[in-house]
Amino acid sequence: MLGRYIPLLVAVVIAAIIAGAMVVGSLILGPKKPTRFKETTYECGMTPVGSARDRFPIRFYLVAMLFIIFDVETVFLYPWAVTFELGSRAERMFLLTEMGIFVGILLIAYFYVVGTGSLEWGTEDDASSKALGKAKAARPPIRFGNENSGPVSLPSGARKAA
Amino acid sequence: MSFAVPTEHYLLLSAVLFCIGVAGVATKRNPIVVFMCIEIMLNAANLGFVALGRHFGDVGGQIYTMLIIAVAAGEVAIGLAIIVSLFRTRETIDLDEADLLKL
Amino acid sequence: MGAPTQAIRDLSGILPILVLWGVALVILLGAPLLRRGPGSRLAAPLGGAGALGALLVLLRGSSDGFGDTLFAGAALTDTLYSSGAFVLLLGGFLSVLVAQTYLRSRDLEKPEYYAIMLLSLSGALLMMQANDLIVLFLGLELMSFGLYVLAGFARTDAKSDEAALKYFLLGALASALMLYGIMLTYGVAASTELSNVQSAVARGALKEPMGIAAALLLVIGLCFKIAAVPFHQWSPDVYEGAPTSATAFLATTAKIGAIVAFLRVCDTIAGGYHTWLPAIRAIAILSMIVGNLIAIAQTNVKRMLAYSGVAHAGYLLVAVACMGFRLMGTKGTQASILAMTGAVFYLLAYALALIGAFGVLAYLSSRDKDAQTLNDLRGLASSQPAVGYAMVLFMLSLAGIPATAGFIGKWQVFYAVLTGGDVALAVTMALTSAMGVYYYLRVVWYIVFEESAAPKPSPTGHGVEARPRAMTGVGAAITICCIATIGLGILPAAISSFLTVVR
Repeated sequence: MLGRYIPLLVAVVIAAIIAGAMVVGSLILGPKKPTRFKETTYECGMTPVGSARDRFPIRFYLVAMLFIIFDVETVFLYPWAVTFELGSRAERMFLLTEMGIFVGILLIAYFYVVGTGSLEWGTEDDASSKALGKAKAARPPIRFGNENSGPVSLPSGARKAA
Repeated sequence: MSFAVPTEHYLLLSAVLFCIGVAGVATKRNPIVVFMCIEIMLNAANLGFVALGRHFGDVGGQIYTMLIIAVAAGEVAIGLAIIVSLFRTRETIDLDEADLLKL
Repeated sequence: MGAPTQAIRDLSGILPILVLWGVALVILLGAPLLRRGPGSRLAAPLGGAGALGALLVLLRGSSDGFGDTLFAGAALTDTLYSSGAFVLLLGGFLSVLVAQTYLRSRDLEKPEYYAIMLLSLSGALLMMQANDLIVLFLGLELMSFGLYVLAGFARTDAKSDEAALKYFLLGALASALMLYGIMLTYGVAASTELSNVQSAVARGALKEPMGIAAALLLVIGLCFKIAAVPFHQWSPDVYEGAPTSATAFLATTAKIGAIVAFLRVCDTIAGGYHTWLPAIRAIAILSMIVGNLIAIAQTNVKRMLAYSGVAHAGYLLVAVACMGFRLMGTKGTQASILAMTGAVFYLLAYALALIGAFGVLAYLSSRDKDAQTLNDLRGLASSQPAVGYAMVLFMLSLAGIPATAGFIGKWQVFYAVLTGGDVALAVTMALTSAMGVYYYLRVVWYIVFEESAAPKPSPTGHGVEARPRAMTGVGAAITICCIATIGLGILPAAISSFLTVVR
């Protein structure tokens, strides 16, 4: 029964060979002139400072969760839309009312979210931001040793090659 | 040669996913990872529903999957909220350290 | 034009759920106003009105339209549903009363608490009305989500957070196991509707490996929810950590909803009893023995009630096991119907005694003291006789002493299983009940015969502080539970018109 997957296997093998050949080829043929700055983490030209695993304000979580919940509810519009097309005129009115109720409940949820201030971003001096600031200060940023090195100057050898 | 994947293969994959989920729940100590394993179990069931729905020519299997996805999203929201709340009071979420309520 | 009239008929079948949803949405819409100021006094009455309104709608509707399937076979109304719903909504109303006082005294009150309670109740109702395993799953999740949040409602209390996390992780695991069982059922029966499952079982679906796995996963998932051994580890931690009012609510709601659903599922798959009946019997016997044994060692009343809840889950599983006798001759059929009625009565007695007992703990709690140990109850009969003797009554009812509702419930289940001819279960039930009397009477001993550890309440002490609280919600809840527990113990027939399950 697995015989039908052989073409798929062949495709995977060919892809692996091509990709592998490219990587190995560039390893063998490419010139290597490592410098200290070439080996630091690439951060779009910025000097890397601190660890990426930092604590974020809790509001990012809240907004993300609200997005997920409201986003997933839209999936129910699809089966509804398919059924809607099949219905007669009277049935369509009925289906429209049903979807109105569904969206209405979501709207109430939205009013609740807004009414309780869950979407307000707050200011720097509110309690949670202060707590966060304290937590940040407690942990020193990771240092790479190149923070004070100023703008990067290319070694003279590299300029000659160009 | 028809290239349709037979239903048994889907169910086999679903069973494998389910077992991975159960094994993860049994061995992991980080609640977020445990929770991800539970989500894998839910998605194993989802896969089974879709495959069986296609097998029976019944649209129900797909609708069930949508309902389960919505349920899973709600579960994520509640679960992560509880984990965040626990982290705020305890500064740790390791399950071995959640021991205030041991006998 | 058929669709709208059909829809009206369907919707009137789930009217109690709609009432709960409506009031919950009103509370959520009004949450900004209900959170502080004069509006904050309105949240609890609204929650109580929601539960009571649903109860009244249920009682009004119970005269017509029974045994119908609704929403093209997704849900149904029958006497098992209506009697279970009666117990559930009564318990929900009493829980609102307990919560009103407890949350206020512990500074936890938020309008969302009541909205979540009502939504959770609607989930349990949906579970009882389900005629389709997917609807059952959705109801289970709707109920559980609310319970997870209520368990962690005291957000700044690490114990409450921990309880919520444990409840959530194990509850989500149970749901996932159950869902996989439903998926396998779908594979075996090509449908998740209970009538189709029943005919698939009649064709021998439970003899195939996939069918066996499906049935066992369903059983395990539901056993998690009712905290039966060996799936009970979460319950003592959750009972202890959750705020007392939430403990009262989740202990009763989850048990009522899951047991009624359990009865319905096992009734459906009765044809394949060879597969699941041994498992249920083993779990029931283990729960009765282990629950009662570990409860003896507890000094925290909430933990003790959790382990006693495990034992009660065992007694209720005896009733569930009776579903398997349905196709074993007329005696067996009779036993299964008796067991349904008995289980619902048992749930009512259990809910009354349990909410009453947690109500007493809530009554004794204040802002800086959360009463939960045996020492907190020491000498209660002399310091606060009314509350003390109420607690004694609830303990006697939980132990199943005659002239209380607990005895009638236990007797009905016992009689059903004897009718079914399962002597082993009946004997285990009788012996373990006798074992349970010990730890309930220990609580009684602490209340009546031990000297109060605290000095006698002086006019300026907590005696004065406690007196006005008799007028609040929790006082009313304890009074209702007391009257009903004695009343049903003496005159069980008074309520049988609501609670008898007919087929």
